[in-house]
Amino acid sequence: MFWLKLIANFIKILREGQTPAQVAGGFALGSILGLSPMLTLQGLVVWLVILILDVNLSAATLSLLLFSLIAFIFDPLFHQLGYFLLVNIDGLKGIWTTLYNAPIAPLTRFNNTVVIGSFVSALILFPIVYLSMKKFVISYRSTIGKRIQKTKIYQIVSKSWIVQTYQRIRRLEV
Amino acid sequence: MRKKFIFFVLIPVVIVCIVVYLFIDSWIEYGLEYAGEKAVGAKVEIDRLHVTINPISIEFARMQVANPNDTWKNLFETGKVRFALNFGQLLRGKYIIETMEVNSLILATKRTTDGSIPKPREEKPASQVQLTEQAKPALAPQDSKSSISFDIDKIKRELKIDSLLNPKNLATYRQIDSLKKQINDASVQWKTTLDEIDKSKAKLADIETRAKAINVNNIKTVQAASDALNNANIILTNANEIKNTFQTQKTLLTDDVNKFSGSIKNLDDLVAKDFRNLLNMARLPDVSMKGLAEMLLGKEILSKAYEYLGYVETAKSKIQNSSDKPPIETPARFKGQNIYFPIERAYPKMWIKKVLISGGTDKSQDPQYFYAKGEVLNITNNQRITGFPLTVDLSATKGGTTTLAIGASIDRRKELPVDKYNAVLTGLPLKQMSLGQSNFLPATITNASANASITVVIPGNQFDSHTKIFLNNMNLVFQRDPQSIVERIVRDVLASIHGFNVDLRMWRNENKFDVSFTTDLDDQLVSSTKKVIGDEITKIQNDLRNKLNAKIAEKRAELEKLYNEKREMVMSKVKEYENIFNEKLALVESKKKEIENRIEQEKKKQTDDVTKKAKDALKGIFK
Repeated sequence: MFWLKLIANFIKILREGQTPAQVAGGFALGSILGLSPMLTLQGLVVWLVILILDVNLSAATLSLLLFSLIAFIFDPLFHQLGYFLLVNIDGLKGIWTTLYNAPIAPLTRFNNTVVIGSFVSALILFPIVYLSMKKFVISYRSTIGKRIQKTKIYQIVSKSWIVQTYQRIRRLEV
Repeated sequence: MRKKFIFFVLIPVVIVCIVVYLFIDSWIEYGLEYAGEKAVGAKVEIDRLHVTINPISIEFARMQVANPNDTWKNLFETGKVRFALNFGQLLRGKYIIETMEVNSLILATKRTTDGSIPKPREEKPASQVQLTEQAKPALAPQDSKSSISFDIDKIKRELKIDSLLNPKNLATYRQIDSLKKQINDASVQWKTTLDEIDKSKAKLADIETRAKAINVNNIKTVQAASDALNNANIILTNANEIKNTFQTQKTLLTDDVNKFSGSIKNLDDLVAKDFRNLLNMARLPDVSMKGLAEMLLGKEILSKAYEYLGYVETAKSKIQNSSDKPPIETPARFKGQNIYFPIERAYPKMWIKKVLISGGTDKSQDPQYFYAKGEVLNITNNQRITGFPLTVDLSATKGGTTTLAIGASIDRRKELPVDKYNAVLTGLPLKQMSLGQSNFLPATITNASANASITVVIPGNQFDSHTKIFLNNMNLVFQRDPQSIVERIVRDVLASIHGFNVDLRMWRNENKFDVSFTTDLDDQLVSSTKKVIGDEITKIQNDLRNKLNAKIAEKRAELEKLYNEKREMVMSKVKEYENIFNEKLALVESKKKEIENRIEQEKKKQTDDVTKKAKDALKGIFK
């Protein structure tokens, strides 16, 4: 039920409510959390940013789940990238050594190959995810949403037993 | 900015803080237990852990660490343990503990529950041979020794010397056949070389003709003499070149031939080895009776030694050298690989500078366990940064009579790891210790007292350990009546003594593991046993030795005949060629000498002529 509610909220948000920038912001920040391993200092900071900024929480949560799956698939690549950054680039060694021996910084676990590899990937992807999502929300609200509602699949799914049951339960809750 | 910021941030933060406050003790307890179990390979249990925030310190009431080799016992258990973490370094993600206080350290206590944990997949480096793996055959009970019979009549009845002397059992036989083949193969090569030398004979004949063609009597002038001398020198140079080539071939041939002479001499060693092998096959006891004590004591002591080797190996493998550029690993998903960036005079990731251990109060001590006190210094993940090796200095007592002192130094500061251990045990009561083997004087030592000292040094892949054990006040209970003369003698000797010493040395050099086992019990047993059965055994052994020597001598004669024939053929030819070369060379040299004499004569004659003419001319002037 959590999943259905999450997707329903997200679809609702795509149609109306918060601005495309808020939805895209939540989605992009959620992507950073999803790609990076849990329990790091930077993860906590990103959570704080999500909670402080008025970005969409459903989008952030859905993005977190979606990008966690992507992170699982691309984990070996993140490990390779992290190892390359930490070990093979001599120019960066000074920075890593300073950070490693500085207070607080080691709590980010930056010296872990997967943490640094996924975090750098997430930072690179952040503007791309943000801009793509923003464009998608705008397009959805203007054209794509209406087109989807007209498709046969949407008609079948929206009249299906599962969706009907979900809506009934939701009404009861309200 | 979110309008209801307080609900979104502060409330979750407060909730998280409350949850952390409520559960941090159990989380840290679980974390320490998990890390300990991963390191030890058996259950680690911590009771009543409590974290204090200011200063950040941890305290727990008890810790039990199960023995991975006997999971119903603990390696050790502690009473109250307390330590504080350096907050400044904790912010840097480093666990630095100045002093850890450990109360009531008790060794090898019994457990009420099984301390085993599911075994993780074993990952051991393929390139490096494990110490215990290598030691296993050396420390295993010796089958050949245990099955040695001491029944002289039975030995005589069952001993079939002719079938023992089957060529298949004799390495000397096979070596002689191999040498014969090698000599035959080599003789073909020798013949080829001799043929090449033979070709030089034609060149020598040419040199001889050229030398003889120089007729000294025909030399009338100095110029003719000088030309003849040049010609003689050229011939001599050619002759010397041929001789040098011959000398090289001669040296090669002689060396090659003499090489077999050495191999034939080495056959004596092989015969001795064959004899020892035959003794083993015949199951004859060594005439010196050495090793009887090893048969009696070895099983128990060597199995204990093997057990302790396991601990040493574990310590060696768990404490690794740190590397500047770690090789890339293949970690589990979301785990990654940690890369460290230490700097000099900084702290490593983990460093417990001092562990102070107290043995608890005398009143509360259980007489069946060792209570240890002392200190452990510099437990760290990177000794190159701290600059100190891990050292252990513990002394333990048990029941007020048994003492144990343990010292260790585990040094990972340099590329070559060096581990040193020493332990001294005194007054250990041995209620029961098995002696002998199922087929040789099974017995039990009861109510003995043991003192022991052990020193172990492990530099890199080498290993050297010395163990001295002294057993006294012992009583023996034999499990059955003696079944042979030797068993009876050994039993009589043992019944008359109350103690003995054992020296056990185990060492590994260049991937070979060796064990040496000596005891003064051997001498006592040897003198008694040898008196009774030594003569009979010696007689049988001599018979076996004589028959072996006769069989080998026959085969060896064939080899020596073949070798001498081939050698004679080569050497006589070489001698013959050498004579020819020397003869021709002498001819050329004598011709050269003749020419030189002739030149001298010619010069003298001309000088005389000139002088005479000058004198005649002077006479004409002064007339």
